Amino acid sequence: MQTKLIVGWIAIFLAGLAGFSSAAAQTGTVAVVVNEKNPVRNLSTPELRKLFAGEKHDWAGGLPVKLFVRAPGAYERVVLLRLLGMSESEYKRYWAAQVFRGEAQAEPVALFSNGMQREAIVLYPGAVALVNVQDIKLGMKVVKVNGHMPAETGYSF
Amino acid sequence: MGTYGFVPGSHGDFYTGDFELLLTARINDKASVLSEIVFEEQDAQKFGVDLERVLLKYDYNDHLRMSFGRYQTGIGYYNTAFHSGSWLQTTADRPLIMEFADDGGLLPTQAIGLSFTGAIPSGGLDLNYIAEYGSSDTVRPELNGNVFEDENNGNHVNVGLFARPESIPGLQVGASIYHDQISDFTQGPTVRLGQTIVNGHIVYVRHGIEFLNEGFLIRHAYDQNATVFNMPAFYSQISKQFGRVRPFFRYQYINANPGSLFRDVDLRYGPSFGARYDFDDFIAFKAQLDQIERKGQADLDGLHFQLAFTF
Repeated sequence: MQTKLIVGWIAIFLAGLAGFSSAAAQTGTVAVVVNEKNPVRNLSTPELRKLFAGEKHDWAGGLPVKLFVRAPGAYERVVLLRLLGMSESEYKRYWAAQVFRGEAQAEPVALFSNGMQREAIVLYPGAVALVNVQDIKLGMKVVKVNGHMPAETGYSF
Repeated sequence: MGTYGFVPGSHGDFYTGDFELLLTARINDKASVLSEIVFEEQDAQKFGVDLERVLLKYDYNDHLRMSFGRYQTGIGYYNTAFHSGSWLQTTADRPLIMEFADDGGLLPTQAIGLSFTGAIPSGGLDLNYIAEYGSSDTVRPELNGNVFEDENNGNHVNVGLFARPESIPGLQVGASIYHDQISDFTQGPTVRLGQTIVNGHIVYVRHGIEFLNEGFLIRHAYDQNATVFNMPAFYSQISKQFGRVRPFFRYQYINANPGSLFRDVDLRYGPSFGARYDFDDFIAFKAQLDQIERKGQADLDGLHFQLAFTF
């Protein structure tokens, strides 16, 4: 009986840890990542806003911008919407309007995990995405924001 | 996109609004095609087809983006922000000054030709340009009857600049000037006049707020004599999203000269109130109350309901 109780407590503890881990992924610092071949080193907040609003179509040098975003529910999505000053509904309507105006072919691809974002970043030379710093992996190049890397003091993204 | 409602000026008949098909295709990294085909209900539930836009687009870079084909002219903000998409608009209809010419509007809102746009290196000002050269061939029905006025436009030039300052995200300030030659058919097709349309706009769209302000000066100068008509117009529209509801207020004003081509419009002004309710991200219901005062004529009061959706 006591063994069952201990196993139960361990299960709850592990579930709690998992919950904590999940909650941790809903906060923290978000980095701007691009393909390793992209020469960009630094972006200002207004430049980021223009990128993720689809107003900037090319990187310096002519490489077409390819936007990847996280699906609703992810912390990176919250940061994206905060950057654009939009609610989820406004974001959807904004992109429907952009397509209708001929300013974009489609809404940016929404991915369900940062692993998928990594695959996309590696695959597309012009790709850019927002990724929680905990999930930065090989193949992702982190770009400075307003002159600061995510770990540095003064990084405010 | 689709809209449904009642026929304006009727006793409350249902009608099918525009049913629009937007087709886009990417040809390669730089080139794409966009077409917008509209099915419009006409008299006795018959439907007409209108090719609103068909464009071959080529984006050389952010500083030079070209379009060739039938486009909606870049006169002001409204025409290029909303095109003919009722679902995109907060209100149930376009401001009268921005109404399409085939619905009685005053401006050459559509044309066939070349359009160039792009960003001008300008730091935090984020300046953009637009330049168009084409033929608009405007034919507009007079608002008070069945007379159609064929303006028989010559080719037009339209140039504009607008800024989206980085320091105030959501703000756009711009101006444009349009020029072509048109005919005054009431005096004969050989009576030509120069048409110049100057626009200025200040727009703020962010954080659920939509604040649109546009002013126009339409100048008609006859070639054969010294007659010149300067006709001002403006509209101002404000709305704010509260959850699913977006109440709005619009005031519009047009002062067309009674001796001009736009004699049927003359002086008109007044407010519109209403609200848009978004059932979800793609279906909206709009209710709008209009009161338009007209010089020497009875007021035009109207209640307009519209269901608009996109899919």
